[in-house]
Amino acid sequence: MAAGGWWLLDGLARDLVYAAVDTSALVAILLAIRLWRPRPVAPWWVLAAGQTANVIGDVWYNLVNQHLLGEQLFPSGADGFYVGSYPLLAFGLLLLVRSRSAGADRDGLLDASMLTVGAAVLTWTYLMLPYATDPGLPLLAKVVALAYPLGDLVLLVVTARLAVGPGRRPAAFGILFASLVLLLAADATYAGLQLAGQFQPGSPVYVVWMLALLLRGAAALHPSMPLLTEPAPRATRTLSRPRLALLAGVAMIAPAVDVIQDLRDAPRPTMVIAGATVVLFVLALARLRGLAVEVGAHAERQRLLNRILRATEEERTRIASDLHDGPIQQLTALGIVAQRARRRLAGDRRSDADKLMEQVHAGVRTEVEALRRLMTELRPPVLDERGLVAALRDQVDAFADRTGLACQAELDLPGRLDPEVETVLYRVVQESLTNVAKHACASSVSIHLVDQGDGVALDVRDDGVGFEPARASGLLRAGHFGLAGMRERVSLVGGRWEVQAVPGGGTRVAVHLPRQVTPVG
Amino acid sequence: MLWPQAGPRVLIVDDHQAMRAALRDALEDEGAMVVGEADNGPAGVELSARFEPDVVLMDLRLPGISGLEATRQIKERCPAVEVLVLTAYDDPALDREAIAVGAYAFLVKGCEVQRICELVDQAWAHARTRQAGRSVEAHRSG
Repeated sequence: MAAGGWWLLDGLARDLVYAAVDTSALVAILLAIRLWRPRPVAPWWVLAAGQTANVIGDVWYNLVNQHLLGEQLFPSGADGFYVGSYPLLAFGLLLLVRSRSAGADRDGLLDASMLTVGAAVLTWTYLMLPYATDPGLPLLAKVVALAYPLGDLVLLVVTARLAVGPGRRPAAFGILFASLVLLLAADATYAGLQLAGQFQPGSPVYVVWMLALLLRGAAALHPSMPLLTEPAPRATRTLSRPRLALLAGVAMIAPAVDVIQDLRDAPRPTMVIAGATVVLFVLALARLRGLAVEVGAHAERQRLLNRILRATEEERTRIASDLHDGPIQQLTALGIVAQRARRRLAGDRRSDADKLMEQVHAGVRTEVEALRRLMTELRPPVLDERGLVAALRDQVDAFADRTGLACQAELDLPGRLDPEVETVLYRVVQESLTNVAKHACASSVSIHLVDQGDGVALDVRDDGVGFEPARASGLLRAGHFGLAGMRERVSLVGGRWEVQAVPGGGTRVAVHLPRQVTPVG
Repeated sequence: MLWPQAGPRVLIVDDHQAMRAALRDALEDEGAMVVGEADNGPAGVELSARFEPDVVLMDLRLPGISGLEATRQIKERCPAVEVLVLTAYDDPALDREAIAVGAYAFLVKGCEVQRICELVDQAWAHARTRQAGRSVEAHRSG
């Protein structure tokens, strides 16, 4: 409304309205911090500081210079606050971007860098070069004049980073993004008008600036504002068609600028264009490498998935076979014995029947024990009922009994973990011990489980023959199911895994897992 | 007792010792004579040829060769021997296949002992009838 009524006002009223709109964005940010209590709050405090600098700059420029002093000086104190507001705004947004990224976002960073290089070529050629090469401009004025487009460029970098980075995109995100785009567009228009000597106080550019400010305040006050700083789930990033088209367009900027400048018979910033081309080429290569790694990882995941499916089927077959050869045969035989006992009871041969029933009783006991063993092997009930430490102790004791190896278990874990994390740790120990029994030729094994506050560390070591480290990576590349399965289980709950082996010095499996599962998108 | 006097001569082919023991005891309770036990397919075929029992109780999942293959070989080498398949697999397709290779009947483990004995008796009667038929034919042609 304020923006719409702009043309109905003039002079002081117009500048007062502008100052009010400017201040409203600052008040909105401060109010939103109190109202929505975003976590972390630091990005919003820095944005508020940037907005404060902007308000001071506007008041200085529009009210003090214009109405109190009656002349516009360049540069003046207002320019100091204006120029200072850009790094603050950019730093606040950068903090926002960082809090939205759960981990490193290499692809997003590369894409944003490419966009920046493209924008830098345009900014330098059309907004900075004329000032830089203007012989009539005093040094301070030149520096300040160059600082404005530079500030916009910094802001553009962070805006691009925000746009291509991970994180939730609630309504507040869209509003904030729109406000940044409007600000950059207005700044670019302003710079163009200034260069052409056509800028007048009260220009329509002010309306766009006001819209940008109003949207900035609206983004802060929107109820979805706290979601802006929430970390995004880790996701497999792909190069979408629109993004590919955008990056291809960016790659065309430098040669296009060269051609346009040539056609206009204007100065051609050859060194800048050459430098930008080299940087873009290197960034594109880095992006390609990332994609190649991702494709390789995808293929490996696919191989592992196939192996898991096969292994699942093999496991089912084994269980079916165990049931066929064990309980079904034994219980069938016991059923026959029970029927014989019944016939003896019917024939009043009670003593014979008793003997047969004793046989049935002993057989049923044995079968219950066998079924319990099978059940424990499939999913140890102790893991659900008494937790990881008790389950690991049982597992290690059973392993020591079965293999005769000396086992030492130091399990320091107060309380329970996420059930998924407990299962992964249990299976990693199970797989590690299986490997020790099969391959290590060890005489002792030690298992350490340590609480590290935000997560847990598991360490399984043996004193066996170990193996060549090169062979370990070879086995992993070949999708050796035990090792690869362990690694995949660990990475699925957001953990780290490594196997270290020294020939003749034993093997060490080290795992670090978070207490809570980090979802993988 | 189903066979108070001279019952059928039976061979048990099953790789599970507990099953063989239970079947032997149950059959002997009824008066059958268990002439042998085999814990794999080839041994089942071999003992069938050696003892020529009246009835063979044949498991399907066996080491060496499968119960179906063993049944086929027994019927080939000793047509007079009747084979009763006794398996844990309750599968009509296997039932049809067993009959196709010459089994007299198909039983699923867990059935009543009485049912097993009745079918052994029927198979034995069938074997005797066929034997008698062959004797009459031989007498006529001789």
